[in-house]
Amino acid sequence: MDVFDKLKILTDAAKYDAACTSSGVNRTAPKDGIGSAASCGICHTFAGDGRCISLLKILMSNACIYDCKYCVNRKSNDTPRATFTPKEIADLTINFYRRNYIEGLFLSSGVIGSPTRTVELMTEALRILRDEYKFYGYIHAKAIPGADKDALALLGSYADRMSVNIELPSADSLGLLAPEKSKQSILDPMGFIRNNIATKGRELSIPGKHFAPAGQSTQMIIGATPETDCKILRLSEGLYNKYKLKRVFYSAYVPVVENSLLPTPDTPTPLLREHRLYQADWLLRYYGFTADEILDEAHPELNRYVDPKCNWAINHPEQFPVEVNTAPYEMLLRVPGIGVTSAKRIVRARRGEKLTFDGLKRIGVVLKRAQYFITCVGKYREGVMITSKSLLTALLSDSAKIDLGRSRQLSMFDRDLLEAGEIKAQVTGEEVVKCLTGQM
Amino acid sequence: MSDRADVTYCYDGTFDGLLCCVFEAFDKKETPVEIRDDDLTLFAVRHIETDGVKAERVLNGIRKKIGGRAFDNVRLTFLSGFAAKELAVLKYLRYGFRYGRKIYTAVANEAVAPIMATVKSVYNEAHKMKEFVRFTDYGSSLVSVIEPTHNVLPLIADHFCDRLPQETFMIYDKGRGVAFVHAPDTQQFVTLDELQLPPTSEEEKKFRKLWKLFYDTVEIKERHSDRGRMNHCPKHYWRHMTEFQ
Repeated sequence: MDVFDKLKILTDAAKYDAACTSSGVNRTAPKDGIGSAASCGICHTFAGDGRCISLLKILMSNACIYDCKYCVNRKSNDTPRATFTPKEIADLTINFYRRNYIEGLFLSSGVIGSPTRTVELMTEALRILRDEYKFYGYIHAKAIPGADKDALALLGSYADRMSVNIELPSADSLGLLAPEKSKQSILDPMGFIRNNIATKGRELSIPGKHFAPAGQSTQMIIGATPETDCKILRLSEGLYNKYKLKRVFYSAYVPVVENSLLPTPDTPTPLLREHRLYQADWLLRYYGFTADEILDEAHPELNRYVDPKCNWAINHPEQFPVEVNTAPYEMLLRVPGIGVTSAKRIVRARRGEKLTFDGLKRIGVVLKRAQYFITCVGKYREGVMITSKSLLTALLSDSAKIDLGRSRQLSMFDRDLLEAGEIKAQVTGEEVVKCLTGQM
Repeated sequence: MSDRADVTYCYDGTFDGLLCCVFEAFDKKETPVEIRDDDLTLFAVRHIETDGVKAERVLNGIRKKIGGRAFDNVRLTFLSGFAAKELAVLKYLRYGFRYGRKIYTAVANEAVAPIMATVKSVYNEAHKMKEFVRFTDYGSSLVSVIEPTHNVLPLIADHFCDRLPQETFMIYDKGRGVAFVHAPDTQQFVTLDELQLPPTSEEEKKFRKLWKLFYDTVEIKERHSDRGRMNHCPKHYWRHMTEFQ
């Protein structure tokens, strides 16, 4: 089997992992080395699915001894198997890197022989890159649950970021679908990595001396098991707080396997749900929200039609309008349509001059949504009518509009109705009102 | 403050030349209709001579009365490919000489906002070029051809020097006819009207194929989204990117 076959098989097997970031560490190579890392992260291209490609994301091997039901690489699946040698991985990485195709390597693996043996092989690839090729670019390495602590410590000393996949959002689901893994076998290495980062992580790292300076992340599969969004968000919040994770990635389940315990192969990939979870995740990390503010037992699922921040705003009319010239930064962040960049610009701009709506536009604040929630010097924007209809049209996300359009097409094959845009819009509006007031 | 004059300033397209236009406008207390680096206009044209002494005076004035960051912003705007950048610079500096450091917070002002937006656009493209530059290995050196909207080559050169200190490489801005050349112990910008490249080796072809294979395989076909890809990687960059060839 040549390197082309291996690359095809082991890329195909790695592609469902969502993480591909190269952020969190700054470093330049010494004169005799190659490579650097930028804290902001650098994507190098974008795949046909719109996802960023920053790292050479491959598995070392897909010849896995485990039989996790949701995984394409599970032992019982009839799929071609391949294993890279450590040197093949190092050579591919360097040759792609020199041509500026990639920012570095993201190495994961199925379990070859044993977890510890797998980690040792991965470490050897990283060692060749760091010690022999003097590679100072970015490396993300996946920790294999169940591996020996010393082996993990060595792997982490060569990596910039480490991750252990939590895989599924509850211990029950894990027990059902991944019999060889348990909640504890995943949380143990996560805790081990956290402690090592705390004592040996450095933002300016020297490979071989420091431990995963760019921190750790994890990912879970969404939609293969019955957990609610509320449960998932609380889990993420716990992971951020307790394990100091940099990121939790959500991977919409693509039905790759037929199994009575899993959604049937014709189940659509829950992309909108994944998108909403990322939005909520952003609220946790950058917008000062807690999971309980976003969802609770009475409303356990994220709203399909509006994003979580809009949803919060609609349910808290007492907090609005917000005066942009005086509101604290934290409150600006809670205005639908105002993100971190806009909020920072507003705070800066209002130190110079009183902000008007024209001024907001000039600094790049998009008013489409925000105008219903803010005032400038005590006044709403001229012409803004705050009615339930105008509000809903503005707050409905484009994807929700498409989504609603599609669901209508499925339910009614009536050309006339479809072409009569007005009727469609009306129906859409009604559905949304219902959905926002909790009747759907 | 100043009167609008029915005249077009015409300068030599250099940064010092632009500073001399600023000098002229302050000296004559007027605002020209346009500032251009050619004389293709129906308005009356005044040719502004580039004078190192005048340019130096403007430069020192900016540094002293407004600040270093304002100078950087002017410099970055000059690198942009936008048509009306010169006049925007003049208005920005007029505001700066009048209000001083307030220029840094009054980012919503009509004279300041266009410069901030331009600076952002230039930085954005510089970042994109760090992402999308593709080198071809010709055995003894790596060569990349780019065609950016803004003149970002001066902004990305250091990034690649830091990254590839041992390599001999060249990044060629085809549209502007300028190349940056780096060798382990030297680096310089050179003008190049044309670039003839030798055929690519078998080894190079192999890695191109491997990269293309990786690129095509890593996509999750069930999630295909042309719009998503185009948002992040606009089509006009594709021409020089290996994976799209």
